[in-house]
Amino acid sequence: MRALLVALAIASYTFVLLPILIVVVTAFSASEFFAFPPKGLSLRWFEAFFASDSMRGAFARSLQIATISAVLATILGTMAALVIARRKGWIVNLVQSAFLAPLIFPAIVLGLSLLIFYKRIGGVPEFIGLIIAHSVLGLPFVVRSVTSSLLAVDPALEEAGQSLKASPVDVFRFVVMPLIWPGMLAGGIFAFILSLGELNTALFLTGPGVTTLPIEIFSYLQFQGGQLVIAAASAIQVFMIIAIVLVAERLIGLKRIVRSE
Amino acid sequence: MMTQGYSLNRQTAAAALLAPPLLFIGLFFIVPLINLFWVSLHGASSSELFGANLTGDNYYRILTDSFYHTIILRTLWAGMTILLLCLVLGYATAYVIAPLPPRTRLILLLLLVAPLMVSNVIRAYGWIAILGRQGVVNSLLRSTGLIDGPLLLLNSFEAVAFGLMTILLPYMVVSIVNALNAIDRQYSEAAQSLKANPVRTFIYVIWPLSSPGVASGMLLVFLLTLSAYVTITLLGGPRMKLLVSLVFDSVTAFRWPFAAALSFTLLTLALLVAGLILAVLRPARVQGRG
Amino acid sequence: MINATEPAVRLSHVTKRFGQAVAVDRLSLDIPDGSFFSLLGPSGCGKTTSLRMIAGFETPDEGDVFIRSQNVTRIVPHKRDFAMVFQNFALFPHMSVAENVAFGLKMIGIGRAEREQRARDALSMVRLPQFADRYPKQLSGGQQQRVAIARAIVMRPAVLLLDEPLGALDKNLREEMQVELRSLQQNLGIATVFVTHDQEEALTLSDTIAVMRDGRIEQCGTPSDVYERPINRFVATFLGASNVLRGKLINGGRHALIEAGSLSIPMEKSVGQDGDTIELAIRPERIILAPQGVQGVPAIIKAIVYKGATVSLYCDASGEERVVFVPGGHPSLTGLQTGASVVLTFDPTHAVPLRGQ
Repeated sequence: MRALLVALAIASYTFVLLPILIVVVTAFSASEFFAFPPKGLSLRWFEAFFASDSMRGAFARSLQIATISAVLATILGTMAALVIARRKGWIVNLVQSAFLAPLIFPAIVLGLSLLIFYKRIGGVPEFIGLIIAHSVLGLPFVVRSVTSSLLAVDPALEEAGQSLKASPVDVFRFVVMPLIWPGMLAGGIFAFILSLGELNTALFLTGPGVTTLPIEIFSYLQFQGGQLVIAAASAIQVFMIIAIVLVAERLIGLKRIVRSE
Repeated sequence: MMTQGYSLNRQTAAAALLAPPLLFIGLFFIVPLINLFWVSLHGASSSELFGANLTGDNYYRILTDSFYHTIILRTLWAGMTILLLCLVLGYATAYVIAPLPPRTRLILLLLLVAPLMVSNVIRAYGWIAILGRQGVVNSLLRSTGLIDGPLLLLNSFEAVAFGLMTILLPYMVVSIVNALNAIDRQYSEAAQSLKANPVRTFIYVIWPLSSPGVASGMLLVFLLTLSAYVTITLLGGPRMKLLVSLVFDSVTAFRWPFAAALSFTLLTLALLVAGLILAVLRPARVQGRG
Repeated sequence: MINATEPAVRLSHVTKRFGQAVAVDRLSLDIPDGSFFSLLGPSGCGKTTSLRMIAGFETPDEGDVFIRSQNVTRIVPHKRDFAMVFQNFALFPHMSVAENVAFGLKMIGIGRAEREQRARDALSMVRLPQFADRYPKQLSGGQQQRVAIARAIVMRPAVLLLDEPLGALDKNLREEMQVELRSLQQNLGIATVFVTHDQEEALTLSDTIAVMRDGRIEQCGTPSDVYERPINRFVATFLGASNVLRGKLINGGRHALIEAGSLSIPMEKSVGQDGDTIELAIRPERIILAPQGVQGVPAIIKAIVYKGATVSLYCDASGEERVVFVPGGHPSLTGLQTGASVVLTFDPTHAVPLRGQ
C-alpha cells in the first residue's frame, strides 16, 4: 500500500516538473525543429530571442509591469495590513475579505471587467491598465503576508515606542518595519512573480504592440507553431524565477515562501 | 463597532492608512465588477459598448440554448474529472510528504510550488512538446517500433484534463499537507488504541479531520480550472470549447454584454460547485461549528 | 519650575466605558511628586485602564487627566511626559540592550554622545553595565526587567508607570526586584504609579495605596491606614486575612455586643444607634488566646497549620470560622491540639468598625 502511495507521489512530481524540464532543455537545442532529445546543443534560440523586437519588447515590458505593480501592491498592501492586523470588529473583517477576494476570484472575470471599465471611462493605456490589474492581483498576497508578520509582533512593542516619545511614523520606521520587512518582501516577491507569469487578465488588457512575455509566447504558439524561440523565451522566464526564489530563500527563508501559497 | 476607545488621533490615522488601498480595491475591483453585471443586463450594440435597454436576454439565451448547456456540462465534467485526479494524486502525495522532517518537507513542497510561478503558457507548451505529433511520447513509441503513425494525443478532452491536472496538483498537495500536519497525532493513536486498523483510522479519523484542507484544495482547483483559458485553448484545440473559451470568443467579436453575462454564469457555476463541495465535505465540523 | 505642592499626576472624575461595561467610574486621585503610589485591586477593577489613561493609550469618556498641571487628556502618548515599564517588558528584539535604553533619547533628539553616556549611566544604575551589547533574547527575565526599567528612567519623566512589572518573575526574584525598585525610585525621586493585584507587594513598596473595585476607589491611604483601618469589608478582606465580627450596638451606640453576646467591645466613638447591626474587622495576628480568667469568645480549634514563623489556628466560634495567627513558639501554643476549647480575645483598639461592604 505504501509503495502505491509513493509511486503516485513520484508520478505527481514527474507530471508537474517534466513539462518545464523539457522546455528548458529544448531551449538549448541546435536544430530548427523540435526533437527530443535535442540533436545538438546551442544558444541560437536565445540569440533569436534577443534579436526579436517583439520578444525583447514583451520581456522588458513584463519586467517593468511586474516591478511597478509589485511595488504598488507592497505599499498599498502594507498600509491595509497595518490597520487590519491591529483592529477588530465586523467592519475590519469585511475590509479584510475585500482585500483577499482577488485571490479566489476567477482572473478572467477580473480581466474582462477591467477591460470594459477602462473603455467606459474613456480608455486607459494598456501599460497602465496592466499595472493596475496586476496590483489588484498581487495585493492579497502582500496583505496576507504582512498581516501574519504583524500579528507576530507584540503590540506592547508599539506602545513602548510611543512611551519613549516616538511619533507614529517613527514607531513604524524603528520598531515595526525592522520586524516585518521579511513579510513585506515575501509578499512583494510573490506579487512580482505572479505578474511575470500572469495570463488571464493580460489576455484582455494587452493590445497590438503592447504585450507581456507570456502573451507573446501564447500568440506564437497559437499562430506560428513550433518555432523554438518560444522555448528560449520560456527558459529565460524559468531561470528568472529560479534566481528570484534562491535570492528570496537567502533573504527570508524557505518557510515564508511556501507558506505564502 | 470597529475599535474600543482609541483616541481620536488613532482612528483618523487608521482611516488615513486604510483609505488609499481601500479606494484602489474599490475602484479597480469592486466597481468594475458591478459595472460588468450592469453591462450584462443590456443588449448588444454596434456603435456603443452596449445597447440602451435593460434586458435579461443574454441570460435567457444562456439558460435556454442547448449549445450553452453542452458547453456548461462539458465544463462541469472537465472540472469534476480534474478534481478527482487531483484529489487522488494530491492526497497520495501529501500523505507521503506530510510526515517527513520539516526541512525535507519544505524542499519537496518548494519543488512543487516553484512551477506554479512559471506561466501556464510555458507549461502548456511543455505538454505540447510531450504529447504533440513530433512530441516526446510519439518519438519514443515510434523509435521502439510500437507504432507507425503518430498518436493524436493533443486537441482532446483528455489532453486538457491531463494538462490542467498537472498544473493544479500543487495547490491540492499544499492544502492537504497543511491540513494533515494540523491533525494532532493523538487522534490516530487514540483510534489505534481502540483497535482501528490503518485503513479504518484513515476513513474515520484522518480523512474527516483533513477535510478543511481537502475542501480548500478542491475549491481552489475548481476555480482555477474555470479560468484556465490558455491551457484549454492550447491543449484542446479550436473545437474543444469550455465556458471560458466562449467568454473570450465573445470579447473578440466585441459582444461585450454577452461576454459579461457569460462571465457571471461562470461565477455562478463557481459558487454553486463551491457550495456543493462545502456541503458534502462539511469542513466546519472539524472547526467545531455545525 | 516645579511647584512642590503640585501633584505629578491628577485624575479628575475620569470615566471609561467599554461598550456597556464601565471600567472606570468617576475616578479622582492625586499622585504627589516623588511618591510611590499603588493601584491595588482584583482583575477587572479598572486599575490597568486607569494607568493606561495616564499614559494616553486609552482616552477617558469623561473627566480629565493632568500631568504636572498640564491637561493632557487629548494629547497623544508620545507627547506626554511619562515613561512606562510594561508587563512583559516589551524590549525591542531587534535592538541591543544599549540601543533599547537609548531609544527614547534618540526620539527626543538627544545627540549620540550624550545618549550613549546617559544609557550607560542608566544601565549602571540597574547594575547591568556589562550587557550593553547583548540582545534581549540573550537575557534572563530578571535582567530584561532591569533593562526595561533603565529604558524608562533614562528619560527622566515626570511620572513612571509600572504595569504589574513583576508578574512575570518567580517569587525570589520578585522580592529582590521589589527592594531594588523601591530604592531606585527613592534615589531618583520620580513619582511612580504601580499597578498590582498582589496586596503584599503594594504594602511593601508604596507610600500610598488606592484600593480599587469595579472602577472606583474604595479606600486611599498609607499602607498602615488601609491595613489597620480598612473602611469596609472589601478592603479588610482584600488586604490580608481578616476576621469579620458581627454584632449590635448597645449603650447609646458606644458598645458593640458581638459574637452572640459573649463580648462587649467599647467603640472609640459612637458609630450609630442602639440596635444597629455593626461589623468589626480584626486581623488574625491581633487575636490572642486568652489566659485563664479573661473574658472572651469561646471557640473550638478545628485545625492547626504550622508555617514556621507563625502558626495559623482555624477555630469555630459558635458556627463562625475565625483565624488566629500566633507567633511560632509562643507559650500559648504548648500542648494545643485540635478539638481543644479556647477563649479568643483582643485589644479593642485593634477592632475596626466597617462601613458597608
